[in-house]
Amino acid sequence: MSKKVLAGLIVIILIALGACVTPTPTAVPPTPVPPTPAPPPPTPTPAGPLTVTILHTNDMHGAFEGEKMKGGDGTVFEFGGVVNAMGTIARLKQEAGGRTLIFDVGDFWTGTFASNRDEGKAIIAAMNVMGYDALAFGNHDFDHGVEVIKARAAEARFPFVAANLIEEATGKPPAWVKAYIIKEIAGLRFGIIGLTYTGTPVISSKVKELKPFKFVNETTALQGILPEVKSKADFVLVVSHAGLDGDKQFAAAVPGIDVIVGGHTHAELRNPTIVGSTLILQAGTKAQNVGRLELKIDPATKKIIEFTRSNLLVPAVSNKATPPKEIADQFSQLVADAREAINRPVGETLIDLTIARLPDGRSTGEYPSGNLVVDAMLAANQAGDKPADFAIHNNAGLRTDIPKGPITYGKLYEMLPFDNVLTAMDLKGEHIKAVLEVAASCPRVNTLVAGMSFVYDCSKPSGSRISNIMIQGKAMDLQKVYRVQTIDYLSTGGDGQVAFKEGTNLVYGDPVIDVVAEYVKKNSPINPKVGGRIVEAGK
Amino acid sequence: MKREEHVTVFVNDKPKRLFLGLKVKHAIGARWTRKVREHRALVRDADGNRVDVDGALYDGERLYLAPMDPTTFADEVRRRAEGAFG
Repeated sequence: MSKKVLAGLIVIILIALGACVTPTPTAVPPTPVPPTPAPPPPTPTPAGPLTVTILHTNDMHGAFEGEKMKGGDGTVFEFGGVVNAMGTIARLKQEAGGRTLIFDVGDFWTGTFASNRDEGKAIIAAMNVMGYDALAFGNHDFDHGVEVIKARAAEARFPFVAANLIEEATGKPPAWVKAYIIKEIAGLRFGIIGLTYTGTPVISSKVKELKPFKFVNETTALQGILPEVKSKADFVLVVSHAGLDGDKQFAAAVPGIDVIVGGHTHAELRNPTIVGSTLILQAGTKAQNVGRLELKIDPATKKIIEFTRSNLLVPAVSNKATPPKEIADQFSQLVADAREAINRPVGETLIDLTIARLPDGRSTGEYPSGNLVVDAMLAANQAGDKPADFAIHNNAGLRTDIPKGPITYGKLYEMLPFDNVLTAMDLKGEHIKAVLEVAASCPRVNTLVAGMSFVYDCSKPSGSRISNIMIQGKAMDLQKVYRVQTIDYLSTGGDGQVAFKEGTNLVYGDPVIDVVAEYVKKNSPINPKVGGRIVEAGK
Repeated sequence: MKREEHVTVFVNDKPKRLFLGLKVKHAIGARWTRKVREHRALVRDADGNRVDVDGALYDGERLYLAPMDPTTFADEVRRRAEGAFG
């Protein structure tokens, strides 16, 4: 087939779909997507009202598979998961007759073992098949670093959009991001502006990598760009990972937005939230729903005359979804690969990784698996600009032993089943002492430490059992501020550890299990030593 | 301007001060989180929207916990899907 004939065919297909892309703003460098054919001639505007359907997903978090459910009549089906969501989109798109806009609102790939290994490649490939129009990335899409998200943007046949992500060096969006795009459907022009979460540099595990970027306040970014978008579009849509609260705030502050397609807070908005004349949407999480908003538009006046007011969310269930075979096959293979990989050794231990227990079964004090975990946390060096002085984890977070020999990711997950993430903070010596006093609940000592040692005395009353606290070999100063590497659970005051709530300059890191797996891989065979960290008085 | 490091959320109208970046599961605690994951409980926001335990928290958010039956939940999901497609 000649190139000319091929180009002609592509043009005919685009006209049939009623959609075309108009050039993006000149100030924004082009996104590396495959070359698009020459724009087709303007589509004739139909005389009667026109329905345009917005389909959307958000916060899929790498849920390749849905959750098994059983109804009252015994019917078994799967709820959620990327394959079912894509299958739901396929049906909804067909029903909509091609006049659709499809968006994802970020945090699309991190969260499951299978997806974390794949780093979002399969989901982008599936979105390419389904014909997504734009993606507004979220804070978690940076979890494996900026290069990973850049690579995904390069693979996508649709743009990654964010008007509020600016490179400090250039004052412009990075080359792999577009501030906005214009899509045309049947002669109607839709301006689509992206927004990412401005709190990303505070809560991301890749805080150091984000330093070259400025995350501009959503309202400021919108106020700056809206006049330009409005001059080119009949309708303004914002695809936003700002969270429901952020969406409500900028909807109130910036009039002129028709629809906000949201994410981040994992809320299921079955009816649109309406602020002024702006509709706000959000479709929950884990690909459990596909959001569907139908806009009935008068093409003559270019006004929205009606919209879906209820039942916006279509559950992605296996007995209704019709995913393209290539998508179903690809994800099925990835899940199978992940199941095999989870039982593959990541390293080896020369000793049994046991947990010390009291006669009543509760874990206590220091022991091989516990010391392994806190040593890995400290070695991960994920405390931000300043390295951590010591690491601390609760005993109750470790559940099973690992016998001498090969260590698999699956075994590590059985040992650490709570999905905790590294959390570093500044904490004053007096608060550290308070933490240890709470831990010394006697006879149990519910803590594990690395880079630190202390003596406990169960014969003394609660609150005065801890002495000789040493950090990095030096006596702890009650007035000095130390950098502590702990976990999110303890930062909430979990296990009664309220002193952690006094922490400042919080930095989140990777999941604890990944940090331990990495440490085992690097240091294998491992042989964690026990003794001298948590010492009983007189022993 | 330095961003506030904490948010205050309300769980069944009881205030909880937590670090920014923590999630609904941190606000409701491990016991309720397990129940919600098993569909034996449900978290809703002030407008009655179902909220997932891994959702981000925001300052002033109001969360309400309610018991749920897993079979009822499954039937409701199925009913909504059937309503959407007919």
